[in-house]
Amino acid sequence: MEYLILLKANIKRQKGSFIGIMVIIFLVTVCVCSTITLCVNSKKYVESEIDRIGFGDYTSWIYATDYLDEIARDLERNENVDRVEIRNAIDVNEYFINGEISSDPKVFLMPYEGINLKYKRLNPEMTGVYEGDSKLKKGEILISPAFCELYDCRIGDEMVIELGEPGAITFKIAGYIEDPIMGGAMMGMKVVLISNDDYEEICEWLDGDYGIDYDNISNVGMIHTYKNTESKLSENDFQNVINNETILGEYTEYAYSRNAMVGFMLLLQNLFSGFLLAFVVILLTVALIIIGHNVSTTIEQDYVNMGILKAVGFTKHHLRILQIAQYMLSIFIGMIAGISVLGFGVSIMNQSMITVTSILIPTEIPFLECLSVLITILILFIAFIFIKTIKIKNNTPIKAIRNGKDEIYFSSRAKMPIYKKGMNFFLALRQFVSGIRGYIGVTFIVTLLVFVVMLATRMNVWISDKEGLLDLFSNIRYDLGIKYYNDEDREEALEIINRHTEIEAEYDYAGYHIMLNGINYNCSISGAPEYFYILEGRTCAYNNEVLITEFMSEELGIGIGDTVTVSFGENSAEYIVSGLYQNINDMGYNFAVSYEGIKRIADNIKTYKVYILEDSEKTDIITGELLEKFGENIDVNLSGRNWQGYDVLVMSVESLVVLIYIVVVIFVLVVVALTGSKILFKEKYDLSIYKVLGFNIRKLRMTFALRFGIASVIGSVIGIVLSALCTDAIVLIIMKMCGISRFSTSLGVIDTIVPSVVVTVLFMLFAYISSRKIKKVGMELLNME
Amino acid sequence: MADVLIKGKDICKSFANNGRQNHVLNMLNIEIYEGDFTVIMGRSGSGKSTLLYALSGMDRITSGEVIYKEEVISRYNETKMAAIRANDFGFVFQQAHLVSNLTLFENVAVTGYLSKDRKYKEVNDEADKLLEMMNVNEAKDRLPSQVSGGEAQRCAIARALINHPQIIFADEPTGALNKSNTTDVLNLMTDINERGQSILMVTHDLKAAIRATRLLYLEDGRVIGEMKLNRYSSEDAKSREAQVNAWLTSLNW
Repeated sequence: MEYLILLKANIKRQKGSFIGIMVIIFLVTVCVCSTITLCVNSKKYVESEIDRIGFGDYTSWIYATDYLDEIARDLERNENVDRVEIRNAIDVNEYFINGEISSDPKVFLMPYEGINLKYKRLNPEMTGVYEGDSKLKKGEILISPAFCELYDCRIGDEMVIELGEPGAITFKIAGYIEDPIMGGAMMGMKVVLISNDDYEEICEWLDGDYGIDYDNISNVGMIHTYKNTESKLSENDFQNVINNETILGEYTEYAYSRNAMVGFMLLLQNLFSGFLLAFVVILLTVALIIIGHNVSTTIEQDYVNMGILKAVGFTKHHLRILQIAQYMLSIFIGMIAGISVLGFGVSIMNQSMITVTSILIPTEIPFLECLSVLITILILFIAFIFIKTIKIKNNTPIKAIRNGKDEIYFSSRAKMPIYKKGMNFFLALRQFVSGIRGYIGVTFIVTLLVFVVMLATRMNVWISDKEGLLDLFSNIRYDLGIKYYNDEDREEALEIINRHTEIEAEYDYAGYHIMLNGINYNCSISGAPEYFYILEGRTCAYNNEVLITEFMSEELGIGIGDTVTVSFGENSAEYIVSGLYQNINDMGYNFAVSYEGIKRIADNIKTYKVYILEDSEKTDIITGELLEKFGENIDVNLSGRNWQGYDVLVMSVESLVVLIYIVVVIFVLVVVALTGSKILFKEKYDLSIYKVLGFNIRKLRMTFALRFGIASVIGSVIGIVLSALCTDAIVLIIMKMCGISRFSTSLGVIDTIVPSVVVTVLFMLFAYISSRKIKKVGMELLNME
Repeated sequence: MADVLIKGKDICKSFANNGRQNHVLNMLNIEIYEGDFTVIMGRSGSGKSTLLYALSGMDRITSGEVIYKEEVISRYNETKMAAIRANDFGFVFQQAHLVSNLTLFENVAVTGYLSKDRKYKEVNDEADKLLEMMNVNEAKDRLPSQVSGGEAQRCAIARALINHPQIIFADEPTGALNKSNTTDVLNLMTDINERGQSILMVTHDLKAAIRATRLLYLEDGRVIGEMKLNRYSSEDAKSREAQVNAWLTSLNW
């Protein structure tokens, strides 16, 4: 009972600290549990949905559809294969949405009725599964929500596909489907479901002699291969075996394993989770510092009461338990509050991400995972508070009489001069130096907050530099790609281009899926390999050389100087790895070869002539003129510049930056409120002396705010240095998920200064606001009567 | 007759205690004259410190007026009052009440910097002079926690004088000092009064009270007695003490 009375009294007296810590723990809980929920639910859901829809362990795209059954039979004969499923689709390279031409992502038209039990149709709000009559009428299509993000299209908008001589076919968007296989906005292919009637009609055209533009639209078969559960082969070995021991490899245009598709689908979620995790670690550290500071100052404030309680028989253990109970209660309520709004928060987060992920991530909180993490955090806090309350041991009733002060409590002699001009600042500096212990925590917190803000800013600046990012992300840089069907067209096209701008470079380029050491990988073929982004070694200058990424190097255990076997159809040849390069295609699992190099095994490679223009801003005008002049006689490709995933990436990072800024602002507010009130309490005696001497409240509040300003400036400087040293390493861990193995950021002076100035100003502003309590500090404190 | 420096008119100061109003100062009228060493005496709880804080603007009064230089300063806002405290009033308390993280010199000088019309060097020179006058020059670079109570209190007097105040308010300035330090501080205060400095002091110490040129006695929040004295000199200290003692006895002290 006595504990309860004292606990209630303590909470009542320190309700500010109690609420402040609750808010911090609330934020930490929301961030931690959101990250866990996003991570766990996304992974479980994508994996279960991929299996439910049926992707197999390995899926190969085959354009020679006449051989699908033969390939399947051959596969089924292999002892490592359990079963094979074939799914037919219509491959579309170019299409128009709301009048805008696109070839990225490419589209697979599939009949809805044939697979309606597999893909889930979403309601128009994309908040749940569609419950009405889901039968598709002729001319209607269902699209992946990612299209909304990529093309700003909605239900009722149109998609037009050029068939060739039969003209164009127009589809009306009737709704959305959840696409857990290819739905990720950054993925370069998408499923579009059409009615059975439309599907059959297009198939008839494709099968007949109607002058169809087969470069734009063609049949494709997906062969889903399921690994025998008894097979002991690793994923790579399994791919190697089925590509080499069966005829699959000869016909495969491109192929992806189940795990690769899961990886693509979880790319953004993982990116988000990675950043949130880094942020959460920093938040936890900040929370620990705040609580540590609060425990210490509260004990100092309560020395007298504690001394009295000791005098009447309470032991140090009783008092420590009381302190721990008080903080635990606050932490516990913060956690409960965090968990209670989590469902709502996660639901909003999922909803806002659906046009990026194309899946309805379940909002159920993974209690076991969250609980284990929260219990760990709780234990961490208990241990920390237990250590911090060790001071209670040293308090004696006699010390309590001295108001908790040691005999000389200002032993430090700060000799910084105080001048009349700028007295507020010099006084603040003196107060800062004399009470340095109280400000170390604040400085450290500022360091961490500035670090996290700088991290976010660096990311944002880096992401916003589209040119630099394209150089880094894209396999090769170009402004315009044109596939010519005769040389005369090329001459005329060059004339049109030259009318607008000089051409810096022209070379052949193509992207194919080609087997390297028996595994199907994305391969970049370039007539100008000097434009590849080389990390180590040199580019593949000779025709017997290839470049591989660092991820490939790690996965296959090969490096510069090693020999690899590259196979295309029935041909294969040995190549030497001349260097490591960076390319994010297929999350970094790809390789590159020169145009001359690929000719050793393939003489029918269809390449684009790609152009680097001196004035790349003229690209759109030139494209318009080219299309007007040549129509369907040439194929224009802009994907060297118009990287669709870029906008999604920018949007995602920007949202994250905003989120980080909001949390940082809340943290600054709570930190200032908690530490400020303690400092004011500690200094109320000095404050009343200053008041008596004639210092007005504005002056006193200003010196108080300046002290936080000084702490912030010091913290900011350390934060900036830390961020310069560590940001790249931290971001690289996360960016590896995207296929970036190396990168570095640099910030301009403005970008470096602005975040730290923002944090410093916020600290000073909140400190000034929280110092309004100075008004209430009365001079009667000095009256000893 | 000297000019009136501060005038208290119908001053009331009440505190609420469990819903009951406790009138510490009750329709009190008082005049403090320029150049006087006025001492207010009274029993504990008679309201003498409350009166000092009311007249100096350190505490708000419940009703009535405090008039300083014909201005009703009891109606001033906090900023205007702070300016008066900085420029016109000096304060000495029972404890030295020095700012704990400033040296003795800085405690004095910082107060001087508040005065807008004075230059940095001028303030520093004067602070040095005052600290020398108070005989704490050797300890001037020490922090308050590193000097004796007497040194700290002498520094507090120097601080009170730095801006050439119109009046010094002193609340039991020797209450926490030993005998030797008490004499030193009282001598200093007598000395500065002789140089024309007005002082209003609250004390219950007879030895301090005899330094006054005017004595007021407070009971139940009202002035019930007044006594005028000549300027103090150490030769007639004993007779002054007897004289004041007799007066106080007559007031049932």
